[in-house]
Formats: sequence, C-alpha cells, structure tokens
Amino acid sequence: MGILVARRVIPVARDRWLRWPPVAAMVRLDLLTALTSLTPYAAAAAVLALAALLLQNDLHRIREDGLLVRGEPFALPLAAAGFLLALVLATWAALAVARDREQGALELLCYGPVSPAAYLLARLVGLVLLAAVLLLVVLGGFALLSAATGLHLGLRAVLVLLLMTGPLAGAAGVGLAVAGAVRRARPAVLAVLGLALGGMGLEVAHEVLARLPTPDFHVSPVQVVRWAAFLLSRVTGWALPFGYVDRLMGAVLRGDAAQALPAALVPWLYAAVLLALGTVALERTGVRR
Amino acid sequence: MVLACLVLAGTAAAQVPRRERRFVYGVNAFAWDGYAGGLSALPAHAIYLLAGHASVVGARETLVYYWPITGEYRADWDSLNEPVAGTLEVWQGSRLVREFAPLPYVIQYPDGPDGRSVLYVGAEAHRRYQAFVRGRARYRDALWRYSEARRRYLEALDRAVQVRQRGGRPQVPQPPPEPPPFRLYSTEVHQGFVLDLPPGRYRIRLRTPQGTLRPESERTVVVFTHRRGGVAFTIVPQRRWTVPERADDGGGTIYARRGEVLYLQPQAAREYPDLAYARLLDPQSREGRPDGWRWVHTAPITRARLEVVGPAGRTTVELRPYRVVQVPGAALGYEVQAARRGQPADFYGFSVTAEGPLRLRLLDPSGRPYPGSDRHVRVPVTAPLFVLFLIPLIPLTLGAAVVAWRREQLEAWRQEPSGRPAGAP
Repeated sequence: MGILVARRVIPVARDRWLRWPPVAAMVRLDLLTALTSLTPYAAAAAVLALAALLLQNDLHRIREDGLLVRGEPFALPLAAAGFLLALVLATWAALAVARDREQGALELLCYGPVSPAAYLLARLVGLVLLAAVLLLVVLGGFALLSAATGLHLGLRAVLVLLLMTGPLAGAAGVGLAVAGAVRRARPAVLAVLGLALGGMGLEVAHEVLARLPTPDFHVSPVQVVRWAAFLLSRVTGWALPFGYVDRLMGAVLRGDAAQALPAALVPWLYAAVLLALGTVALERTGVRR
Repeated sequence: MVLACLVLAGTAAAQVPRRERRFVYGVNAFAWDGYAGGLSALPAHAIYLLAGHASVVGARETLVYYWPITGEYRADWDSLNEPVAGTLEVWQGSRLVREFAPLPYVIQYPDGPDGRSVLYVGAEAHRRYQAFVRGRARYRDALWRYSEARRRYLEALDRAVQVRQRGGRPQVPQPPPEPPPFRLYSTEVHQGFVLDLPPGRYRIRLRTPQGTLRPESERTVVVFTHRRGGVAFTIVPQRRWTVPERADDGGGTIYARRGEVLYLQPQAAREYPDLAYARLLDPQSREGRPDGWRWVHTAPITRARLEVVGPAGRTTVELRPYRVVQVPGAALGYEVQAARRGQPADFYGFSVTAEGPLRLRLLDPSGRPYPGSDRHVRVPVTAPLFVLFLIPLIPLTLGAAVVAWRREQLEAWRQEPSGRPAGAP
C-alpha cells in the first residue's frame, strides 16, 4: 500500500498540484520582493522600539528602587514581537494574494503550470522564510539591547524566538485563508486586522469580566457575558495564531519540555490546515479578477 | 421631607442582605501560613485541600447571605451555627473511597492569632484546650496580682516622694516584675471531619444518622500538591525596606543598582497551581489562573550560609540579625542596620553588595548546596537611555539601503538597451 502511494499517488499529486520548479521560483521571487521592500525592516524596527521601551521601564525601576527580580526580562518584548510580526505577516499574506488576484497575475499563473495549492504553498514558504529572516534581525536587535542594558537575554528566550517561525507560519496561513475567501484587497486586510484586534479585545474583555463580582443565587447578565467571553477566547486561542505564541512562550520559558514540543509543532499543523482551507476557498472563489 | 425619608428608608432597606437558612461546609484548610478558614455555601463552591496535610471540614446549618461589596457569600454564624450530624462519604468516580466520622478538633496559635497554627484532633484536642483554659486563667490571676503589686508600688512611690519633700531619706521601692506575656490563642473544641487525602478530584456528601443523604451536601473536593520545591529569597534593598522583592524561581535573575546593599532572607518554597491555592485560601476566590503557578513560602531557613562567587572570588556570608530604623530628617524613609548585641532584630538575612555580576548559592551546615537555591545578581549598564532607541534604527537604515540599492538596479535595468540589468548574461 505504502509502495503504491509512493509510486503512483505522489508523482500524480506532485505533477498536478505541486510542481516544485515553479513553486521554488515563486518562493525566490516572493522573498526577493519582500526583502527589497521597506515593510519588513520597518516591522523589525517597530518590534525593537517597543522592546527598548519595555526594557527602559525595567531599567527605570532598577534605578529608582535599586532592585528588580526578573525571570526573563525579554519575555514581554518577545510577546510583543510575536504579536506584531504575526499581524504584519498575516496582513502581508492577505494583501499579496488579493493584489495578485485583482491585477490578474493569479489568473495568468494558473493558466501555466501552477495550481491554487502550489501558489498558496509558494506564498506560505516565502512568508516563512521572510519570518525566519525577520526573527534573526529581531534576535540581533535583542542581543544589542541586552548588551546595551545589561539585562540578560537567556537561552530560552533565544529558543522562543527561533521557534516562533511556527506561530508566524500560522499567522501567514490566516492571511492566505482570508485572502482565499475574500476577493478584494481592502476587505481582506480589514478582515485580518479585525480578527487580530478582535481576538486581542476578547482576551482583554475576558480578563476584565473574570474579575467582576457576581452573585450565584440567580443567573446574572455578567455571568452570561463572562461565560460567552470565556468560550469565545478558548476558541480564538486555537483559531488565531496569537494563542500559539502565548503557549510556546509559556512552555519554553518555564523549561517545560513536555509542553514545549507540542507547542512548537502544533502551529505547523495549524498552518497546514489553514493552507488547505485557503486552497479550498481560492478554488471556490476562483482565480479570476 | 416625608418623601425624602421614605426614599432613604427604602434605600436602607434595600441594602440589608437577604439571609437564607442553608447547609454549608465550614472549611479549615491547611495552608503554609496557617489554617485558612473558608465557607463552601453552595454546591458550586468546590473545596480545595493540600495533600499530605490534615484539614477540617465541618457540616453546619447557618444563615447565608450574599455580600455584594466583596462579591462573596458569608455566614451569619452568630445568629445560627448548628452542627449537622452524619458521616461524610468521599467518592472518586463511582468508587466510595472512605467514610469519615466527625471528630473533636481545636486549632491553636502558639505565637498569637497572627502566627503559625497547629491542629489537634480527638482527645488531644480536649487536653490542649483545657491546657489553654488553665494557662489563660493563670495568666489572668498573674495579671491581677501584678496590677495589685503595681498599685502598692505606686503608693509606696508616692510615700517616698512625700518623705523626700519633707527632707527625709526615703527607701525607693522596686517595681514588681511583669508576668510573661500569654501568646497562646485557641479556638473552642468543635466537631469536624478531618481529611487527609492523596491528590485527586473527589466528591463528598453527608449521610445522616437515619441513612439518608443530606440535600445540598454534595461538593467537589480537589486535593492537590506541589510540582516542584526549592529555595526562595525575599530581598530587601538597604534604603527601600518597604519594597522587598521575591526571587522565588531558580531561573530568576536579581538586577540591582551598582553598590546597592541587598539583604536576602531564605525560605523553603513550593510551587502550587495558582487557582487551586487561591481557592484553598478562600473557596469563593475569583483570583488565580487555571494555567498559572505560584510559589508559596513554607518555612524560613535559619541554619545556612550563603556562598557568593564574584569578581573578588569566592566568599561565604553568615545569616545575621538586622534592624529597620527610620531615617531622621526630611528623607522620611527606612534604613536597614545591623542589630547590635542585645537589640531586638526585625529580620535575619544575608548581606550582599552588588558591585558586579555575582553567583549566589545557599549552603547547609555541612557545606552542601540547597537544591534550587542558585541565583545570579547582575548590575545593569548605566549607559544613556537614548542608546536603546538607536538600536531600532539599524534595521530601518538597512532597509532603506536595500531599497535604494534595488531602485538603482531597476534604473540600470531600464536604461540597458537590451532590457537586461547591467552585468547580466
């Protein structure tokens, strides 16, 4: 059975959906386009500026109180980096696909040896490579910040940063899936931003509602809203990429290897599922402008 | 006026909480800073207990009311506090794990109500309570004798003053000695179910002497334990006694200003699930995160030395007594000073000066390191803060350079007659 799959199915699938030479060419082109535009560098600069601001707060406390105990001073900058880069990559992905469709490039490609699946895969691989480059730039910036402040950048924080490619791949997957379902560039970008900000807003609402006192004798509206926020935040914790960043950071910084491994691997599965969903959506909505 | 009175009376009546007669469990759960008293007023209020330590659950009938200010249920024990007879059944899934009969118990506080607490069960509870009552009576008698002796002393002092005023040589009386303070505090002897269960999730319910199940007596009991233990430090900076920091986790780094003198107080510590420990202290608590953990200090470590490895080499610091004194003048602060012989100490700690990166380790009396006691002290760089904000400009500059280079390439490509970039084959 395995031999049959290897000999018959894989070559057919490869020829029909995933022809590697065009995919590789698209990946190269995407990466080159991304790296020669200002946006990724601006994103990295924004991450480092935010990190500098957060670290400056810590330094201020040390100067004022004379003392500060921190497990990992770069934990908050890491979380901020995860959120910002995920937002940038998801928006980038959605905008790239929607523009290709609007300008007719996607239709043109699909007349050639490129299927929607191959196109989205190329986009995803290009964005993952871009994420890796961005993370390396951020890592370099964090190392410089660590040297400039004397605040220790631990090995676990470095590991989190390197493993963050998984959740960022998931974020790119969200952008691709949204762009597959929404035909126009502006609605696609707005949908991605809405998902990101909505997910964050829901988390904040959940935290606030969890602290509101309510009587248990009778059902109160606060309880109902709290439960709704709790359930929705549970869903968005798995449906949006930001929850994956959170889980990865928690497990790795704690040194919990049993949870860190799944937290590092599951985002890739999530990205693959989103890629499949994006392909289905693109095939349904069509490649024509 | 009448209308205002009616409105105010209505408001006042609305603020009186409605009280309901209910079956409740009064909980005295073992916690590291003393037995935590709590109330499980509703079946939804799960009871959280620590594994490996005896805790007491008492079945009572009382008046329960909801207190909206704190958002919790409270019991009006003064109006009604009726023990409910029966045996407590503990179930795990569909298996009856154990049945508990009520036992007499008493909780005593040898160092006063704010100090550590000890649980005594069975006949020992009665003995301890009787000893407390006798000790309290002896103290009361001693106090009465002391006040009498002091009255006589003051009278003798007055007489001596009069003799002195008349020009005589009075014999100055000696003041009577005060009786030693009586710090022991005790609850009365109550009946309760003393539970000490292995970690797990259980259901409890009360079976009455008639063999029926008491309505509303079913509760979930969560028995939990720690996931790791170690040594935690409470760190006090010399000039900021009021803002101590906790270095609980072994992975934590202590950042200090250069030259800052730090006082480290070591404690044995254990890490518990945050939500479970919050509900151990208060079954109705809304604090605690289901995915969080918290370090709990279990006991101070008094027989230890601190090994300090730094630029000056390896040294050992002894645990010493320190006092906290108010800084005179306009500074209005506190300062930590070494306690001289005979002076009472406010705390005991290890004094460490942050002059550079240090590695700390706690050693037991035989010189072996305590597991989980390693800490790093680092002194941050005192560079100007604007340097931090120069770093984000690096990727931005790199990006601008790349974009400029790319544009140059495109321009060259456009100007090539062949339509190919210069240098391309």
